[in-house]
Amino acid sequence: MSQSISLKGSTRTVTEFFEYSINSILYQRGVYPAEDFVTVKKYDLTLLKTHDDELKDYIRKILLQVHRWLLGGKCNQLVLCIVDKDEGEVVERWSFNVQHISGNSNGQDDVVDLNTTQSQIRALIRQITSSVTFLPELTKEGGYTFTVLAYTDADAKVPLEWADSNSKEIPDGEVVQFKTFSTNDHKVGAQVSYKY
Amino acid sequence: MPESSRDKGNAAISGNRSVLSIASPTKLNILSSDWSRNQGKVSKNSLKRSSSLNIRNSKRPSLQASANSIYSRPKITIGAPPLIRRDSSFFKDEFDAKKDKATFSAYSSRSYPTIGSESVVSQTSLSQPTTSREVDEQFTVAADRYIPILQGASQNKVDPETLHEALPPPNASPISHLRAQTKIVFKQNVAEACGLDMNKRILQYMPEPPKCSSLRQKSYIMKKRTHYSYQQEQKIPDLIKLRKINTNPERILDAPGFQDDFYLNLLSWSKKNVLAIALDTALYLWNATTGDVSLLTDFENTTICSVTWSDDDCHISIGKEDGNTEIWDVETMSLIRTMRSGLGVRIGSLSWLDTLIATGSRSGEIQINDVRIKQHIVSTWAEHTGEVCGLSYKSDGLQLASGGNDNTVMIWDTRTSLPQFSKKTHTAAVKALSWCPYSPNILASGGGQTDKHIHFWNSITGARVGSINTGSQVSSLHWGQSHTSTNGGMMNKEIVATGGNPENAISVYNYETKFKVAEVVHAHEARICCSQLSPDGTTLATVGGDENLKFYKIFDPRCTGRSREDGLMDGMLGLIGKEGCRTNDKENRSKNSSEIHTRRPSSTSQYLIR
Repeated sequence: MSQSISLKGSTRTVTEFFEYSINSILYQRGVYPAEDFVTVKKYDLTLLKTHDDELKDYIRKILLQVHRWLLGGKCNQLVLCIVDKDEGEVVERWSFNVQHISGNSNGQDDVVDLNTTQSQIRALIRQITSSVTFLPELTKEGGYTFTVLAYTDADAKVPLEWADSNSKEIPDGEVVQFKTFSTNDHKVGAQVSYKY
Repeated sequence: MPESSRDKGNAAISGNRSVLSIASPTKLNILSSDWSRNQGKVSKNSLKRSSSLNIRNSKRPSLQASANSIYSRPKITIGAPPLIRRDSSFFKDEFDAKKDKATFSAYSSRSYPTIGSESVVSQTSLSQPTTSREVDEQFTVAADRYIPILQGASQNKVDPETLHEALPPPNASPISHLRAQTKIVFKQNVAEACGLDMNKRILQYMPEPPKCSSLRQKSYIMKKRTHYSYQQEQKIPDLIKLRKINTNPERILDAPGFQDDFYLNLLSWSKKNVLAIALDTALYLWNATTGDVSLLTDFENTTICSVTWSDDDCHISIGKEDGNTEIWDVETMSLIRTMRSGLGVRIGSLSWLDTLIATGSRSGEIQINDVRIKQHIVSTWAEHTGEVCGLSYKSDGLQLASGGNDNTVMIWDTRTSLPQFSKKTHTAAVKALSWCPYSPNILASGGGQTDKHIHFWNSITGARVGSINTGSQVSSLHWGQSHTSTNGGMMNKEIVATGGNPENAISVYNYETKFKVAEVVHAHEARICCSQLSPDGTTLATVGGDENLKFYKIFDPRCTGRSREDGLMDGMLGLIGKEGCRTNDKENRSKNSSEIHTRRPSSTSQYLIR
């Protein structure tokens, strides 16, 4: 029972992180106009979150399914691609790698402190926020959209809205690695590759 | 244990007897060769005998080697009768040894021995059923003996074998097992070649993300507008019926010498119901209440370019062609002050706010003059690149709207003396400017001959809130109102535009629907240059290139009970009374002349406008 509760708590932490990260990226890269976002207090940071109902519903549906996959240990990577509307080309690719830590195989009894996880998440989100300093400017105002990919096991249950796709890698793109954060059951790392 | 061994011995004995009974000569030969232990003799015998015997003979050297290596001790310890029985058990052991070698060769990827073993197995099964039974027993024994021989590496190989055997049933032929295993290996190799991981899957959320909220808001507004327009379309016939106006002018006055110049503002109507009109070098005042005409001034060397009443309606400002602006007291008919712009070009537009006069010049400068101080020019705004032909202060005085011959509408912040907004939507000179009295932040601007549009601006946000294509030159704009029973007594906001070619028409538009609700076609024989609305907001005075000053009743009176409004109502009543007296234009003119003659017989010639 305690193990299952811990797993659910860890999964919720990871899913919450995905939600705030996606919102921050959409705001920082200007995929949606600034007036669509409001400030919220999270991780001791002032983060921006969308108050547009349609976009909020869209992200919620995606993350609900990702949450289910994470609970079952089926999902190991979540990718956010920023796509040029006119050319259908991926200009930025944000990927979050999830490693499922099983205590039995490692034989470790390490318990990650909640404060440690929060501080690690804070550092990671700060990096995401400050990434606008080195990422190239997205010049077409309102000309970009985004799409979400999920890397799962072959035997994962897939709803109808999700379909098989290619990896949408950016050829000859620059890759920047960000920090990672750990919980009792997951280790999450982030990276961005962009077209230079 | 001993019982089990005895059982095994009995089975061996029974098997041996059956074999001996079937093919005794061949078996006896084999036994004799074993006892003699001569390899040369064995080879000779094989040459003499048939092909099947050849196969069995080929097995003999391997059998001997395996027997020597594994079962040397049992042979030495056992006597003759047990030796015979042991021989039969040796026969079984030899079969086990064959299988072991076959499996090892399979692991070492040698194809020939495996094929040989398969062919042997198939032949035995086809030839004799009892032989197949023995083969089954031998297989089980072999399985038992596999366990101590297998190593860790072979244990890993057992897994694909189990998968190999799991797919087909265990009783299936070995070929199908091999085929199934080959398929699995092939899939893995192909997946590796393609760079895919068979256990991984990349999924994409297929619904498209939503659009920006601003785009959706626009679409929402468009839908709402369409819906609203659809509703209004049903009301248009009512509006058209109810907004019938008299297309004949109420009064026509001659305006000889009127300058047919689009960029000048030569008409102004004060709140005391006195109309000022400039005729070339002279300025005439016509009292709409009494019908009196008086000549204020007549310049000798310059022409009048603009006329505007002050807010207190006791003074009038005259912009002249030489760049000077004069202020006259209409009560005493005397000149009070002359303000020199120093520009040397004509002052074509004026606007008065309390003690401030904004003057627009031909060179594009706007000067703010304070009539209370000697150095009257307090600000000079030089943003326009063409003649400033339209100037209008907002009622609260916080903003000033200017239109120029550079096709620009500017809204100035009078406190900071900076242009708040600069609009270049018009494609012709902008002369007609009018602030909406109902919504204080709405400004209407009309474009010239190559533009033909009326645009409505929000002066706080700078947004354009509407447009009307009038189809003709817009020389002036005035806001008005009308009342309809269908709207339950509500007031319709309307705007009247005076136009030029081709129809020289007066058009009335509904502000909400942007539709034309009334029209006076061919109001003048030439284009309408200026127009002014009466203080009560009902009568429009228009003057055109045909040198006629005409009065049309356009709007309904405002519904207010203030004292000033009462005075305005009295003025209107006066006009209505005169309307009753009038029968035709000629009689009207004769009456005017007779009135003037009767009141001032000695000076009739001086005050005739004609």
